[in-house]
Amino acid sequence: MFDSVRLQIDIVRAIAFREQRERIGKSQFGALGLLLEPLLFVAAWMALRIVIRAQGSEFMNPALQFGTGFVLFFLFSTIALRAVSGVTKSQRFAELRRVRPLDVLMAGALVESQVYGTCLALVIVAVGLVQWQLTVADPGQAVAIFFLIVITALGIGISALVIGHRVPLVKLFVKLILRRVLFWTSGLFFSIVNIPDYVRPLLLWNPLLHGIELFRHALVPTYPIPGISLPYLLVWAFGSIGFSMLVYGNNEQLLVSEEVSQ
Amino acid sequence: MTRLVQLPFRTAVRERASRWRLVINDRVGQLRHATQELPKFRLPKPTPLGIGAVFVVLAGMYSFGIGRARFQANSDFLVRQPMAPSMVAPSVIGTSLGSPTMLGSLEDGRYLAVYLHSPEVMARTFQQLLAEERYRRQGWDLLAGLPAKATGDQQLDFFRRQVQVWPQELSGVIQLTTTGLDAATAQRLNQLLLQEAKAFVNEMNQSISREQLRFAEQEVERARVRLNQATGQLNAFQVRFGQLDPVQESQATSNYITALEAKLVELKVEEASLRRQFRDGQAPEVQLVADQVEELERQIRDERAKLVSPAGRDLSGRALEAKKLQNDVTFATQALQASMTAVENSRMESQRQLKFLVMLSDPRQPDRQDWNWRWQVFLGTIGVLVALWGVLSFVGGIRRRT
Repeated sequence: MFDSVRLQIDIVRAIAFREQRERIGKSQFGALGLLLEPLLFVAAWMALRIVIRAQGSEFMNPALQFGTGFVLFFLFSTIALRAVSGVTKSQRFAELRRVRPLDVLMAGALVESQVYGTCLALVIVAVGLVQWQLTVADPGQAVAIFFLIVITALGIGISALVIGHRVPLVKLFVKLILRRVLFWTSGLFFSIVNIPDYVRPLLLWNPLLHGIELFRHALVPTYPIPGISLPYLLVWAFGSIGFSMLVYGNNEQLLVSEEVSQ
Repeated sequence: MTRLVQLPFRTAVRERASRWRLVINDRVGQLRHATQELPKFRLPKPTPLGIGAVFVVLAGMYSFGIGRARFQANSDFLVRQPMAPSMVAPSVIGTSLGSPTMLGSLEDGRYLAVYLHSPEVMARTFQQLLAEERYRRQGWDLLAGLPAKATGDQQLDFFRRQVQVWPQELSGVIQLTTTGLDAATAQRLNQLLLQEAKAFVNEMNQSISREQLRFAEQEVERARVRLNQATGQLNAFQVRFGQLDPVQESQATSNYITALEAKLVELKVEEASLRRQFRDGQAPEVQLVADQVEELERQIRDERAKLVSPAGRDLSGRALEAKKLQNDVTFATQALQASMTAVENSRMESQRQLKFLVMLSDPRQPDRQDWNWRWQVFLGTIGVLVALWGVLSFVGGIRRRT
């Protein structure tokens, strides 16, 4: 039992290492670029948001608020989009029988969580240095929510991939939601408190909004989160990953896409 | 002689010592041999997982074993005014921002949060609470409690960790949570802080309105003095020149001159017609009228000179000065009226803006200890370790690559 778990972990770590090396090779700035690219991307969006309306929230430091929002959103959307795109043949390790497509997806998720997790840590530490006070009230909760977001992304991505093979429209639809709809409704630019009561229930369907707001609440306990609930995020995380495992078991071979992933 | 006796004894001792040395060396050699055959005990090589496990075990031991029980007492209150202040301007997202009363309470809550963490409050509450006794460190737990002979900074830090004031952004309710190493201390600290908060809310508002009232009353006094001065000056002026109103007087003089001029014109016309009737210009009839004209012209000239020249009555200069004094009086009267209105207003304001602390829930003595912090420390350690592992393995991967 322990050995098989150990083996599984080793396989995922090995693929993750290989992928990290690959990405460093592709990146223009080498190893630094792996961190710098998403950070610059996030910083550009953040700057845009802060410049457009030169004030942030009154509840927490604006850089911390928008930084956590953007990093967590890109973490979610990158993992989910990669899962939706499936595993290309070059990634598949066809010669290794033990390596399953799911391992590749998990390794991808691991690398992304490491990249964006490091970005998040950098943002929090940087804001802490500027304020001369590190604002992490509940690190355990923050880390748990980070992983719940990763699990939800993986679950939604794999489910959409499998269903998308039967109904291609679903795949397209999910990609559209991941890229556009979630971007505007996940609390990247706003806090849920500032949303009028008649719109709030609509936004509260979005699990990522719950994740991002809960993460901010874990950093600053006075940050108000009306209507946000941890159980809702938990149901989404474990519901989606459970469903994806269910459909994955029957459709494993479908996960290997013919064409190069986009 | 003595030397001869001692010599054999010495050699005997030496011999015995060397024999013992041999025996001991032999034993040590045997022991060494024996230990080499035993399996060697070695510390396990430190792996990341092992180090992490050590930290988790240590955190678990502290949070569920060594750590002393902490107790928490909670109370909720609201800062309210008897009359709600006028409505704030409605915004686009109006309704979600809440009522003015709530915003007022929230604002006061933020001030209270700062005030209740201040050194003065700490000094007063710790003195009443006998904090050094109640929060003394005991047993194995070196993190809980106040160290003996703590400096002022240490005490303040410790106090701030025991007291949490959280104004709730949505409802305006202010939540006060205090921590103690026993249930009674937690409750007592909470009660003491509530007393401080009440005193602060009343004192702050009353001192502000007292200050405003005092200032307004000073202004009334100043305006009254100015009015008195202005009236006095006007009176003195009128007494000095024996006039009631120089403006009217100069007006009257002007009218008088105008009447004289009208008369002059009439006489001049009459003189002209008489000169036509009489051939002789020196005729007594003509001369009479001519004399009258001449007299009248002199009179008018004199009156004019008197009206404006400083040597004469200088009516226009005096009229100007009188006007100025009159203006001073008017202005001082208005200032007095305004400042009296201000006093009245600030007296009303000071009554209107009195605020009250409305208790929503009183602090009660906790029955059981607070378990939150134990789980928070334990899970927080795991969380930090996981995050560290993520970042370090990522950086390690890069290092292996480069």
